Amino acid sequence: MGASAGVGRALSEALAARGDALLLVASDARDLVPQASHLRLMYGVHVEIVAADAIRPEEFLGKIISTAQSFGEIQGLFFPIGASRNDDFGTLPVDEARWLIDANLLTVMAVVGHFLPFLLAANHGCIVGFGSIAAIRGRRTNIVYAAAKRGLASYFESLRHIAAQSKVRVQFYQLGYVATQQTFGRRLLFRPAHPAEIAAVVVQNLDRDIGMRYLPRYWALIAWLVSVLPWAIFKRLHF
Amino acid sequence: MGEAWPEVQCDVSSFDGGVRIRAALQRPDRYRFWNDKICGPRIPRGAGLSYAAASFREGGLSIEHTSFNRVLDFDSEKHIVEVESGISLDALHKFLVSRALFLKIQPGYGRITVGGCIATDAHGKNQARDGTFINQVTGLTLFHPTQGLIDLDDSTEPNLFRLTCGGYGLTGHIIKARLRASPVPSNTIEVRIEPVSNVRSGTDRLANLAAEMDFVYTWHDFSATGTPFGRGFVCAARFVPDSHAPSTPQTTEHSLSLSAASRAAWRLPLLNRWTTKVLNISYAKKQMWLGGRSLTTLHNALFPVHTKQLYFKLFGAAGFHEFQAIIPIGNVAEYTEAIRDYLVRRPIAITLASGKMFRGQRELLRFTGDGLCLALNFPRTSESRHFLEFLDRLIVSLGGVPSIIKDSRVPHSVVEASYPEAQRFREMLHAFDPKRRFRSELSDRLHL
Repeated sequence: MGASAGVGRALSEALAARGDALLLVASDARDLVPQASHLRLMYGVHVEIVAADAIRPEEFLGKIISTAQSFGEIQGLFFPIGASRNDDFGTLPVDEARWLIDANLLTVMAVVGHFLPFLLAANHGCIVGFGSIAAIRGRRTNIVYAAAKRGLASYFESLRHIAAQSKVRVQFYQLGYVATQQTFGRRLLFRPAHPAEIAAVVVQNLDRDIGMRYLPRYWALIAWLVSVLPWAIFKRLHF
Repeated sequence: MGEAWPEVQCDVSSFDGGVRIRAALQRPDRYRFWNDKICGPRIPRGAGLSYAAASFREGGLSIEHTSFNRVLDFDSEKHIVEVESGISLDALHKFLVSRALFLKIQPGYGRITVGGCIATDAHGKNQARDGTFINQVTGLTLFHPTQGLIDLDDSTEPNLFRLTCGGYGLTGHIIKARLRASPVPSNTIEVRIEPVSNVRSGTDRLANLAAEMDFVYTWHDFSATGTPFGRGFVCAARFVPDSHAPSTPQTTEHSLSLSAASRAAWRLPLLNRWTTKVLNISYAKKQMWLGGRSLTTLHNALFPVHTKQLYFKLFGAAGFHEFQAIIPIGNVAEYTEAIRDYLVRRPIAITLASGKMFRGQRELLRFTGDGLCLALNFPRTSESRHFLEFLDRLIVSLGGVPSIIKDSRVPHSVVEASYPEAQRFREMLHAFDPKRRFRSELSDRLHL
């Protein structure tokens, strides 16, 4: 999912490079078609595409199920998807808040909910989710987005519990700064990681039961510091 | 929902360090970017490695294409590859060479993008035989905000095609390009070094070797004085069967980190008259010591700058000049003698003097024509501007053609005097785009 840009696109390249057949999903076919062509030509892998928008979970799932039938067995699910808004300050109308929750949480739940039984029955495969360091602790910006991502983290924790007795790997990455359109041109405290660096780590860890991990790794320390910051100090921070 | 594409204000500079200004930069990564009707002036940008300020202007908006860097289609029978214009030469070479193909015509640094090569109509290692980049472009897709996507080739839209190839990005965004690759005879290149006593004898050898060799250029020592001025060597290379390959592979992966900013990372210049003299003597001796014949790989032969990235950093933050010009063969001796006389009077550290044979019909603002293409590098100093003004007058008086893309300050008057079709270029550009939406420092300077 989310294969048209950023971590999703880099991940599709990293997976194709090791010979995996791919079913790419993103909102715009104009981005998927060149990416699929590129992966077929560069790596000789089988690639199919689904143009679907994550803000409509039922339609999104329906299109994937339809294409997956001809694609073959799905052995892994990767969700480097998400959406945020600059005006997410706690006053979003219901429709717009739902838009954020659908794109960041409900769509992932819908797809996993459909494919999880097949993965468990096959007793192999992986489900990889991606959260954000924006959700480490509630702040005055990205309110609905962070809530959805925090929910996603909880959801993946539960998934890991469900799959604990199987060989299905459930992994969740909390991403720090990544060099995408979201960070382009912004003054950041740390150098953003290149999507290809993130993708390389994800692929390297696929067979490992790592649970949740921060990427880049140093964000684990930052996340811990932010989480233990006393409220008296935290409430004064503007970030 | 509408999408705001992030824009960053940044300091940008030409690779030679001559133009440093503040401009806005966008780096789109999705095709819906081309839906947006941005009304203000803009200019496409590839890797940002042009010596001239062709991809930015003061207060302008540059649109970087590097995220559009994929291989889209490949015809194994016709050897046609379709790519997004932001793909680097290095990435494309890796794709092609795995299919025993390569681009004959390409500049020597792998981070340069295909779009940049088309926009500047770059040349390769044997221009006299192979021509310029346009010769291997079979078609392209251009985006213009008011005209949409336009498919171009030399037969369906010949004027716009020829205006775009070598059009410095002024006709619009090159979205895709279809390129004709050539079969790789082998992965092994035999390099022959042959000493020459001056530019004239080097030019004679170039003329003889251009037809039979795959890569050929001369190197001359312009820091030498007196009779040795211009001594050097001819480097001629050709494919040989892989059975001749050295037992130890010579291809090495180099980090391609060169950019206008990284080039200027060292504050102080290390190249001056004295260090240049020592370096030139050492370089010439090393080449001679390596002997008349050596072997290298195709990758190393195509991208020689990968092993010479340090050279550009030695110029320091101030930067350097490149004056590259095609001189009619009959005027080469007069050109080099005038330079020698100038350097006797007002010494300048010429860090590089290198020649290639050129052939071709002059057209629009493409850098081509018949003659010797001689490239000179020297540090950017208080003296260098005077030398450049001298070179401007000299090249115009001898009927030569200076490169527009290799010199960030070549004046409008010099281009008008040396490019007979400059006005035609201007008229065609204005006819295609009356509002002139694509602008750069280069186009402003040359009144395009």
